[in-house]
Amino acid sequence: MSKARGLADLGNAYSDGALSNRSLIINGAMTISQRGTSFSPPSNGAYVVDRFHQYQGGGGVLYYEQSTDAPSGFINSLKVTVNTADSSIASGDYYYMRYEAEGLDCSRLSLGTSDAQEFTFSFYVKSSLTGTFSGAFQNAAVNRSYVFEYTINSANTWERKTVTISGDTSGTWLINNSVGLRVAFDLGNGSSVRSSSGSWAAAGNYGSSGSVELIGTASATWQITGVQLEVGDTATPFEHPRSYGDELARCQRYYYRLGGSGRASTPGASNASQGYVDIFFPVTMRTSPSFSNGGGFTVNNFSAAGTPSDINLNVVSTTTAELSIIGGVSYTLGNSILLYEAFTNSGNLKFDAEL
Amino acid sequence: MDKINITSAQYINNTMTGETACITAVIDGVTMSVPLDPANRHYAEIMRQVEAGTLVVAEAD
Repeated sequence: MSKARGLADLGNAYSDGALSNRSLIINGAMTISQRGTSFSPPSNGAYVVDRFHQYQGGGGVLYYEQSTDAPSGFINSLKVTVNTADSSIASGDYYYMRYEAEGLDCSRLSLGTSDAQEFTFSFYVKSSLTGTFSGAFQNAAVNRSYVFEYTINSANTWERKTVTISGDTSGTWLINNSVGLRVAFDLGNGSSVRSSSGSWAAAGNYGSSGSVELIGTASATWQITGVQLEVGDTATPFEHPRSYGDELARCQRYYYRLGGSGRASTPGASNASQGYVDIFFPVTMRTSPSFSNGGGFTVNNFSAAGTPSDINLNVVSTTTAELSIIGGVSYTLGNSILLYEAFTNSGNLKFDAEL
Repeated sequence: MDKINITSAQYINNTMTGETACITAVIDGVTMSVPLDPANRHYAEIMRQVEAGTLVVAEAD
């Protein structure tokens, strides 16, 4: 890019409202992956790298991973590999990867109003297949959608793609803590959710008719990183987060995993039948999160230690959770306890407030 | 086209107050404690499936 062109883009970005914090996408560089790095395969609907989730329903199977293969300036990408091909996609089958932006972050787009803003979506993509691929922008109810296309020209080569569209002036677009805007990448959906591209429609479409269906080719791969969505008609250079820690904190609004990589420990107290520990979230979560736990934990009452038979959510808010600890040791009213990861370092407490 | 698979659900009471605290559900094979918050996607899906008649949330023990 020439210096003159760079200055022009900078001017455009300024005119469009921001020189920093331009993108609505969190973890667009795919660096944060609290759930692991390999998903073989993830369950239908499961999140993979932070903030990105996927759906697969049909005879095919897609594996996902946080890859270290990335274009210059990046260290990670999200890689999809066709483990089992589906060469005969039924009308209702679906294979797609999706990002959902919180409505509170989408007010600048003014979607659903006469002031709806033009916006530009950009990303780096690489695939073993070439041709015209597609995806779609959708509202929360998935009754408004805009199908877009992009072309991968060379196999196994990183390419940056840009899509600029006019904001939707119709439909209901939420600007609260629910889904404000969805972006879906079509990896092989049935004909029931495909349409022509390039305009808003009162429908829940996910891709364009005739575009490449990754799931149809065994061992095919598709990778993405540098995902950015910004107001205006200009795809500015990818805006890297200020730090890894900043990006992790932004992700923790939606998902917080404690433990799994060290000796996570939290103190608590007990009544006569069970223990209680409080967890303080590092950032305020989007909503009261669901809770699950995995791996091994030990509860210690300072005279004995054991493995709890259960850990339940007793009280939760967007900032704290109180967990009840069942079994493992005997409990005495008013005594202290300690809950910590077993020596396998595999215990984890997971709080999910994803959209 | 993106329904979450929920195979069981039961209300759980707060062990100190006795009030309903959450729903324990098996979601996509994982046991989760789900708060009674309409903005929580798991709770919203549980309620959607209950309304559709495809899921029953058992009373607390």
